[in-house]
Amino acid sequence: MKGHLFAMAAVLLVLSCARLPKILPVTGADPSEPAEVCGRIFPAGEWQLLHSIEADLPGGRRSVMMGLTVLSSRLRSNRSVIMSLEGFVVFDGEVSQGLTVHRALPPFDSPGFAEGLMADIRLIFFQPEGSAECGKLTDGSTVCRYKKPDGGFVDIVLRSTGTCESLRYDREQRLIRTVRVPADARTGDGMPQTIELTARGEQSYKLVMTLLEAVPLDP
Amino acid sequence: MTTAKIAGPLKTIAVLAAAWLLTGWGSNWEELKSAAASVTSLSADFVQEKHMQILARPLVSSGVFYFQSPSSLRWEYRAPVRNILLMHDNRTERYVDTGHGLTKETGAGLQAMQIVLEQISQWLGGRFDENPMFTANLEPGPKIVLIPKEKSFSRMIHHIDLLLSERPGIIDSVVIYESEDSFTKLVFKNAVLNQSIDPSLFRKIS
Repeated sequence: MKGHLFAMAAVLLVLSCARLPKILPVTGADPSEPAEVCGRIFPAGEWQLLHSIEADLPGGRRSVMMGLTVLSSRLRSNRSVIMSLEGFVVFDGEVSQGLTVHRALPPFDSPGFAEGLMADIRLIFFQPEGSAECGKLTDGSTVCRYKKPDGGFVDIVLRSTGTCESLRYDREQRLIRTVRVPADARTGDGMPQTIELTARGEQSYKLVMTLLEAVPLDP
Repeated sequence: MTTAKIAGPLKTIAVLAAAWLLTGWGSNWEELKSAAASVTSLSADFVQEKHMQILARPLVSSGVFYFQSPSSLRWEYRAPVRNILLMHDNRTERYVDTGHGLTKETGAGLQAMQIVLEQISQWLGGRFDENPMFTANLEPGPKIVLIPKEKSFSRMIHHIDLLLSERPGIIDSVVIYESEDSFTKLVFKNAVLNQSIDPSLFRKIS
């Protein structure tokens, strides 16, 4: 029992202190190749995606909702809707030139909610902008690192197991978001069947998104 | 949004469906009150379409509901996400299939369902035009339009249209408008009125 407690404490310590790892350069490799591979994990084109979202929230609360996202990778735009399981819209927002909130019912109207939600959605569905520093992590995983305008970083990590991860670090290089798509959790058209998002920090939560419907919108 | 707020419109729909399935639509509120008074139970399948301007095609859900007078309700979605809302003996619970079987949702706000239960008794008494949450208008079509009285509630539902079939006693559809370009359409079928319903359906998920 004590051993388990120590192990859990060690894991928690590692997670809470997760920092930006060092990238090992790959000598002789085409430097553009990893970035191209990292970009392939994101949906290309225009899509209408419907997910069930199982949310583990602070205070031990658990809730299940539905999330609708209509996105364009070319325009880097998305319209995202959160609905109750009965289909009542509790949040409807859009990122195009800027953020527009079309509808937000309590508690989804709290300050910062829309910005935070859209940041999560863009971490999940959009390849980060800008050039990437690519290489390997110490465990052999391929990594593409993008520097964010706010001083933070996003790492796209392709594990040797086939699992893909998007890791977001703040400007102090602390890990604040993990998006994980397990290996073999993709549909025939490459869309992730299951997505797990873990948020760390003062407002920690976990979302498990299960794809219910993916409709291509390209003409 | 609380489970209570979600369940309120569902219960309203169930009872309204019961009233018109039983009697045909009446030409005045007194006839409706009289018809609703004889509803003891109702079960029906339903198909639900969610329409929004941004959708390439509507989102479709389906399920079944059971209603037992005075205030027991089981509203069960079977697809795409199975979930069951149980209301019985002043208690409200929701169970959701998260891929590991049906689990009880632990969200806040279930106590607020007491308010909705009080409301249902009004509908069951046929007091459609005395509902504290909606103003009801009987219109040609035949159609009934329900408009929320409270501004806070109208943020969630703009209005509800009940479209009645030409066949007396059959409801054609219920359309819940959240805004001008976002609405949910429910179509009922295989309705069974005033038949015995196993009480355990309102207490247990299986």
